[in-house]
Amino acid sequence: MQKPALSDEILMKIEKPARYIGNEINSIVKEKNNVDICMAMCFPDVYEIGMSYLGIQILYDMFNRREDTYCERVYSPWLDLDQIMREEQIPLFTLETQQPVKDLDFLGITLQYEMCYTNVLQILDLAQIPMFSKERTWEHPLVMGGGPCSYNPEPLADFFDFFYIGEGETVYHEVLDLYKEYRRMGKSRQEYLRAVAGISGIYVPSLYEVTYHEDGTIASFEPKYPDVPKTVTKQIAMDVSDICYPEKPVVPFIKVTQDRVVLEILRGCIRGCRFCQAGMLYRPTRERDVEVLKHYAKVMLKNTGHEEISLSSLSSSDYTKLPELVDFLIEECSKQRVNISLPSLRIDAFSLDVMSKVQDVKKSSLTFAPEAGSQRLRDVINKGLTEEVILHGAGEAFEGGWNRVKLYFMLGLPTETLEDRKNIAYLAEKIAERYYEIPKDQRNGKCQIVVSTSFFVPKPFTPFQWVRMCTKEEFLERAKNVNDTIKEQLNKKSMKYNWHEADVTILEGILARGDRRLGKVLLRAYEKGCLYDSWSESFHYSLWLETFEEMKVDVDFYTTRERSYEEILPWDFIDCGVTKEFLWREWETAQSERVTKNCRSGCAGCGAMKFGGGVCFEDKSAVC
Amino acid sequence: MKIRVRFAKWGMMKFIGHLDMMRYFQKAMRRAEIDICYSTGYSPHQIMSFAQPLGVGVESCGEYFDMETETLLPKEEALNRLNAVMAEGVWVMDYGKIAEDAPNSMSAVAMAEYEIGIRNKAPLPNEFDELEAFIKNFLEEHQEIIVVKKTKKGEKELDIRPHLYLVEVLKEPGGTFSFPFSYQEEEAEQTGNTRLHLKLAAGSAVNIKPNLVLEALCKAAGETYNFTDYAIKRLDLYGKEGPEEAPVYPSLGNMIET
Repeated sequence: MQKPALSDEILMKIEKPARYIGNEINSIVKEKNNVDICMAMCFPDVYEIGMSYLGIQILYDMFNRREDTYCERVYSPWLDLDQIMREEQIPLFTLETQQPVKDLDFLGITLQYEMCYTNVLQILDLAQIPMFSKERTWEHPLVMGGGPCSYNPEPLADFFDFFYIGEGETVYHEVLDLYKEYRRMGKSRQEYLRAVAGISGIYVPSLYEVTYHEDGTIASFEPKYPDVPKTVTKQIAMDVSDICYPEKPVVPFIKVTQDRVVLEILRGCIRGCRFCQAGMLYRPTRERDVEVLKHYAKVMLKNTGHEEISLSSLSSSDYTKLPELVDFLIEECSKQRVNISLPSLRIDAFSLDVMSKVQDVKKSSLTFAPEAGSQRLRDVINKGLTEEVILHGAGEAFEGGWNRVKLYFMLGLPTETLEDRKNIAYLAEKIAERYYEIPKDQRNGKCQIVVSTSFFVPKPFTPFQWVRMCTKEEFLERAKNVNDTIKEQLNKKSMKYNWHEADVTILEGILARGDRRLGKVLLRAYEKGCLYDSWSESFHYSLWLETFEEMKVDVDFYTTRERSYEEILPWDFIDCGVTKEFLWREWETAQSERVTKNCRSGCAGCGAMKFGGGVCFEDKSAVC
Repeated sequence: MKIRVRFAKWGMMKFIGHLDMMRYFQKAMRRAEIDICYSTGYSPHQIMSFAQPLGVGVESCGEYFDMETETLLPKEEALNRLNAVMAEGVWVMDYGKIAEDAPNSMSAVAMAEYEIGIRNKAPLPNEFDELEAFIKNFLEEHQEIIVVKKTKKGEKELDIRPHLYLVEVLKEPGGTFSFPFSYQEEEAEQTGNTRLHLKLAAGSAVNIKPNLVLEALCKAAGETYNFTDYAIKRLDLYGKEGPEEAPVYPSLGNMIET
């Protein structure tokens, strides 16, 4: 057993000491002196969030299969420990060996949402690693980034040595092998960075020069040296059945957000919703073999002892072998009373049947994500869900005993009008009316319809990457429209309306489409005390506003400004398969309120076919 | 089948709280493929109940829980299967059937036995002679030991003296479980070999935690009590039998059939 990095005094004083002691079931124990490469994967948020993330479990398993490598884990110390570590100058440590992070060869940080950027700085700061890549030497770990936000890594460009664009199962081994070789040959860190930039998918921001026009837009974005690639191409695993997947995921002692076995059934999404970044980034859709999934389900349940298994994908209903997989799971799980959780299912006869088998109808609720209130706006965003389908699905569910419905919408979508917003309330009303059509003696009390809205943030690599985002005032006004209209409905007592915070949305909007000039702004905000921005209790918008003023940041430049097709966007150097031409075409189609078919119904020529696999090459006649 | 399990918990595992230990063992039963019984209904749970919560920061070699299983595994096989899936710092010491009519471990607990190492930095002495003299003197001077006990409703004063069944000083650690050697070495370095040995009332009626005794000792010495100055270990839990005037306290482990 490792001696903890923290003393008993500290561990007894802080909340949930189990966040920091490691030693969990299935965590990997190796002798760190017997490996060539010591590294850690970090999720820059609190342990319970970070441990719920499948990506690190996959990479942790993959790296530790290498005999020459020991991969450990690190999460953000919560605010209580953060303060103690600063006061007592305790360097941030890994969970497994409890050694200082600064002694590692690599520190990989996953970037899942923009609001974790100040936590990234906290990790570097507490680890006592120089903040800026340019200040680091071989004395420090190589700091690498990955995950969805690395598709616009520019706001973090100064802090990372390199970014890995794409799925981790592909070129990490080359990155590590090159490191071993260069260290053995006594090469400099600069030489390594230059060489690693030659590996497809690796972006070394310090090797690129960005110049700006007077109006603040990018004039040029060029490699500094001829051997550095101008475009960085996303890396993806084409055979997702054959890639490594953890058979023994780490089991936390404390309750974490996703306290269950997670079975990834497919990558990518055929749907093409125009607001959805994941739907564009992870193309083409690739399914995992059902027999492989059955094997993993069995083995992972046995090795973890979890009481729940969940399917993971962007759209579970689009998995072609879903009925077969679900039947298997119901059979397998009933033996050990394991619960099955089926997120992102389309509500139809099949899913209602499955749900009634795996959960208590009385306690569960139905979830629909129409995203927009009117059919017109749903066509604009290419959300192929019609009112008819929603009412039909809800009706069947109500007949089956359900009486709770959750509806998710976005506000501030391109072309959105007051009428579109009012339609959110009208839709909720129609669903409620459908419920009360059921004779009183056959229904289950009152129905409850929870309407939630989030505010729309335009994201890179979507057809909406050029559009204007709303201001905070506009967002709140829009939420008020919905709230007022809901109050006018006949069945308002069966409805509840929640809306997202507007402040944090503005910040997300700035960072999502930001450029590398924001690096110094992030650092200043962090120095002022911004941390855990994704947690409402620790999000201080006033500190951010102060920082913007001090650093002379024009918030509108990043949020409400409409970009032109010709403008060089900060993320244009990345090739994620989906072409800029396709995205623009989709933006134009959106404006003419027309839908685009999903990948299985007809190819829209997005560009992802160049990867040579997945749904692009499925036999179209074999499936619906 | 009514089964009782005894386990030990030490090292970093002392920071895992009671509820998390329950969750830990629920998952461990699945990993070890023990055919534990489930309650009926839509959200079935394992039929398992723990004897007595152990405070965070306290180690033990006398933790118990009872459970229902479909079949009875031979003791050795059950121990092997469970210990194969334990985290470092938890060890299943005993496993076996108890009588169907035996009271469950939670209601049976009447006494808990502790052994306390006094760390070098603590204000109380950890030399045997010095500590023994101090304890002897303390007990002579305190026919009543009034402590302030925090309850859900607030604070109340309580005389714990009648609930101290044994207070003595040992020259070296006792107990029947041998903790890993490296762990023992490290512990000896911090605390020496002298141990304060306590048997205290425990259970739902009166429950005296060892820190109440340590607090009283510190107060008598005119020092402040600091939890991390002491290495507290629970050695065992006991039930209560026989007439009220001459009760006997059998270990909860005695009820496990061999």
